[in-house]
Amino acid sequence: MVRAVRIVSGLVLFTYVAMHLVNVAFGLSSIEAMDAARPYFMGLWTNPLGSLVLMAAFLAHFSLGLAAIYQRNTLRMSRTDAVQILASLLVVPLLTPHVVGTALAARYGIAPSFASLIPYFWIWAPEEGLRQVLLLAFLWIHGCVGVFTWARVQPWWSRAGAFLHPFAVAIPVLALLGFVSAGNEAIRALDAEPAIAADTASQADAYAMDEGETEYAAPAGEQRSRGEILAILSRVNWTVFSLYLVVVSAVLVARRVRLAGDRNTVRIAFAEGPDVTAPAGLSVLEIAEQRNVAIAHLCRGRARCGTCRVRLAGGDATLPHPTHEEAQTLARVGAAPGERLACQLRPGPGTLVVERVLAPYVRPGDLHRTHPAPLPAPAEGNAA
Amino acid sequence: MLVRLAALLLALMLHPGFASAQVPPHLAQGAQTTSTETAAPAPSANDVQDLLRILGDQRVVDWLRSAAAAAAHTTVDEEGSTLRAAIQHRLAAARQRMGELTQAWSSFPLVPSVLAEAWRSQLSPAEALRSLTYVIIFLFVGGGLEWLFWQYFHPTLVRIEHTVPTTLMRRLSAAGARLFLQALAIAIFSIGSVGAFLAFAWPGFLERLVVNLLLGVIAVRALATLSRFLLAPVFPALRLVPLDDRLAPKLHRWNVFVAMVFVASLLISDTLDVLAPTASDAAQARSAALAVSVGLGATTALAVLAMIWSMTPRIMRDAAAPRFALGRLEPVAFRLLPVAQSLVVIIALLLWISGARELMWTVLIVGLFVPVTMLSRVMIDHFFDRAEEAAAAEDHRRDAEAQAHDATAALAAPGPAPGVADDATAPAHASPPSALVTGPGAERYAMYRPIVRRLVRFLLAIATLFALAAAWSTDIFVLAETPTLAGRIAKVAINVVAVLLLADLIWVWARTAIDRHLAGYVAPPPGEAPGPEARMATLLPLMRNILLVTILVIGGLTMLSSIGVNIAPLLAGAGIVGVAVGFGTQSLVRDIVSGIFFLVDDAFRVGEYVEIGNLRGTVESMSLRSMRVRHHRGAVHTIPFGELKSLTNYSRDWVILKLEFRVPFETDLKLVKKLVKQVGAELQADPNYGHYFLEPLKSQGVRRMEEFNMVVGVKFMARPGAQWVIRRDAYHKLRDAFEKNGIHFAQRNVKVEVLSDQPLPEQVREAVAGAAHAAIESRARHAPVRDEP
Repeated sequence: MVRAVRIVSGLVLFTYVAMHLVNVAFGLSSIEAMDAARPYFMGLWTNPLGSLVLMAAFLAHFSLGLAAIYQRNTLRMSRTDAVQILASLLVVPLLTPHVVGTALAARYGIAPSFASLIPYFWIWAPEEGLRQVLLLAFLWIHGCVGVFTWARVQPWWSRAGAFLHPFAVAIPVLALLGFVSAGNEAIRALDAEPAIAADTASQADAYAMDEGETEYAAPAGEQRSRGEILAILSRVNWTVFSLYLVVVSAVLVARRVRLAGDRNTVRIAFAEGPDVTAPAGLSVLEIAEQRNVAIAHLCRGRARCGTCRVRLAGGDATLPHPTHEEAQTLARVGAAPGERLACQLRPGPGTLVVERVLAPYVRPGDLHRTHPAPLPAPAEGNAA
Repeated sequence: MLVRLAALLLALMLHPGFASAQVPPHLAQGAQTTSTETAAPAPSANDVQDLLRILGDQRVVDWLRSAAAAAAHTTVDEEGSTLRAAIQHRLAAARQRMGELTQAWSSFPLVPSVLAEAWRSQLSPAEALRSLTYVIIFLFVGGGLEWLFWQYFHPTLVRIEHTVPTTLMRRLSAAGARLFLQALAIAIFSIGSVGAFLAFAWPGFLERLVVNLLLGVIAVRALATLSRFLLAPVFPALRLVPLDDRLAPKLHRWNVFVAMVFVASLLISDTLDVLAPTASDAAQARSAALAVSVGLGATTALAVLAMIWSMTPRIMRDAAAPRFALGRLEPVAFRLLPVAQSLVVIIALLLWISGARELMWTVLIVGLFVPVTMLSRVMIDHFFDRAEEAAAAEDHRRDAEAQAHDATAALAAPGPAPGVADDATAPAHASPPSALVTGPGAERYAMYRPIVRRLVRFLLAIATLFALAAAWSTDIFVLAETPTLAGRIAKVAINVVAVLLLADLIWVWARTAIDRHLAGYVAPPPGEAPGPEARMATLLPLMRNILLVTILVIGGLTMLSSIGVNIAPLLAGAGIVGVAVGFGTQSLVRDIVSGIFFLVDDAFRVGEYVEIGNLRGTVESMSLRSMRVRHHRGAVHTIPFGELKSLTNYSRDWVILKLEFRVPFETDLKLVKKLVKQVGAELQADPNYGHYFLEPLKSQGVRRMEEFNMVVGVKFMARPGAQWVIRRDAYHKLRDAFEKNGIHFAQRNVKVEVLSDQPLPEQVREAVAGAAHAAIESRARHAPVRDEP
């Protein structure tokens, strides 16, 4: 259930970001093209229903992410996991000004357009442009890690995967190049018409008041002074940011409290690999990753793929029973009795001898072969 | 070890941007020798168009031609005073540099304000932020492409990293494949980031700045990949240097750190050099830029020094110590090594600050040569050790398999199982499974080790020479083509070095091969006859000397000819002498050579019984020219090898002897067969020669019928050496057995029928018998009695 909510909400958000980026990529043509394409790409999300879905997806994904951090047993993780978590943590502070600005603009009846935003990002507030780029990078990296981790254990992946990777690169790259190209266009326009430049320069403050969504069509009754709006924006930003810091620290502290209990160690002997000692409570996969013992884990420890399964060959550590998800996956991949998923198995204190079932370099394509079994066996030795 | 630090430094210094970054443009323009390396921004497209248009003009072309011709004349005229001019020029450059340094020192406090002013004039804060945005975007583009690459190739990389290579070749190719994949990824990253950047048009300074930042990232990544290739911090199986799991990651981190410092310094000073001339007060800005780049150079040197002092002593202690075998000097060497390295770095830094680039390079290159040579040697030893270990393990595995096979076979066979099994397992217990037990696999590496060492050392020496030449901006090959004295010397030097290299390689190879053969020879214990290896042992040193003389003569002649000495008369003289000596010693040479070939054929050994023509006997000794054969009756034949056409060896593998008995026609043949079998069993049980039998004594039945008897054949097959004794005893025992069982050998009895009724007197009877005997005797063919020992 949790897994399903996480991936569905993530996919919704990812689709939104992807469509937004494709829209930005039109900047390779011109700023007008961006604005012209805007209704087709963003219309789906700017209506009330779309906004509601988006908001719900964001909240669900955000809270599930915090829960996942709370449940982590160790903060020493694989590079991919670290990148994903850090990217997600950075997304919120980078995203706040954009969302709050848009919300405020909507509140005062200002319609956003690329024609006003691009000069703002490139000329009047380049730090905002930098922030957008960073936001895009982190968002996209986080999204890609999540989506591909989910997708590559799906049955259709072996057919579609090779074609989807280029898209994952092409969309943000084209969007960024479109952003650069549109920015250059805006700068050239400014250089070409110094009169307008002088005029717009005097209005720089106006752009700077929020994300720059200033059209001068705001109803007179709702209009407030710029300073006031700026102050509201800044206040809201800081409030959100501090709240966010508090929530994240609270989660980390709660996790620390949860883990404070066990201080026992477990000793794991990998067949054809080293013996390692680690604090109890970590999963076998986490322990292996920390000690450079390679275990295949295509789904990155989400109990989806079954490639991390290990054969238990002895030891006296207490082993928890398989969870529902683990049992399901084990049954699906046809694991022999005595095999468990390394990503889910959290041995208690004691010793444990495990043997890897699959080679560390299993490819996703190997999972869904028509004929079963001949997955590559583990390597002759391990170079850890 | 130490060496690696230095090697890294060299790699860093060889970075193409170095030259332009180190020399401020005005100095480079002042010095004609280095003017090619000016770091000027690329001309715009319009300028190029203009230049092309101007070059299209015929008048301009004509003028350029005449000017070039005039310039050529002046160069020829100035040929004599080049050296003096160069010295003067260098002195002037040094003086100028000193002035600049003083100025830079005095303007040091102003550096921040001056540079900030120049920076602001080129780049508004908005533009600076924007350039950062650009850099991030283009890095993202490159990173995205690289990610895409890894999506397809990451499993391959993991497979390479997690498969333990078993042989040297596999180890090298695994490390190489890993480097290739990572280098490809970096190349894709560079193409993605720089390519995307170049797709847009940029204002000059911004372009330089962004390109510098992108190049910096790429350079650091490339250097880190190189370091990872050599050190393989996480995967000891792919490591190319003998470092353990603790030191390799540390050294790798140091390498990356130094690379970052170096690249950052390089890029900052390059950017400032571009920035300085555009400032309002250009002279002051230049001084400031110079001050900053001197500071950055010092920082880099400090980083290198920190690395040296942090890593060298540890590495020397841990990994490299037993390999250098310096004996008592070791502790001193350990303490002195970091000091020496530091001195090289500091001197290089000082030379660089004072603007003497050529001298700096010379110090660096010479300072690097020794440690790099040591490094290469250690690496080669490391490779060969690993390879030998792997080969020994492989041999061991194969032996174990063979033994297992034997053991199972032996168990399956009913008879001699226990004995065989014991024999088979005994060596397995005796030989430790670990390395350095040289099996046939490991041995083939031992031969190439010195050759590879020698080759690498030579290549390094040549590379050093070329590097020095490049540092002094001379191309050796171009120099060799010029008709000046230096050119001729260079030409001769190239030839001499090439000849020396080849001769040395051939000599090392031959000497290694010969020494290995000699080392395998064990002198026989006193009292035992030496085998054919003994003759090899006398021949090989001779061949080695002949080879040495040949190589020396050929090498010397080639060198003489390249120096310009006419060697034709020498050759002719040597040829005449050679022909004369050749005719004189023709038969001697033939003896020696055919002796070698008989040895190679393994036609005879000391102690064997041979027949040559009509001479027979036991081989007693061999000399270079002849062999000595002792007849069993004591005579000694000396036979030159050249006289040997063919040779019969009676002591090889097996002999068959056939014995014949004449028995009367009424003999029971079955009984004979039984008796022979019985005697055969007795003979085989004999402790003295029983083990010589290959096939026991057995009856061949009746071989032929004669007038008065039949001939029963008996034969046996034995190893050479005891056949005569066996024959003697066989006759003996068979006769006894036949006698005991009532079989009497047929005896020749002649019946003379006398056609007369009356009894003959005794006297006449004897006369008749004598006459008949004489008649028979005269008819019987006297076959030559075989003369056997």
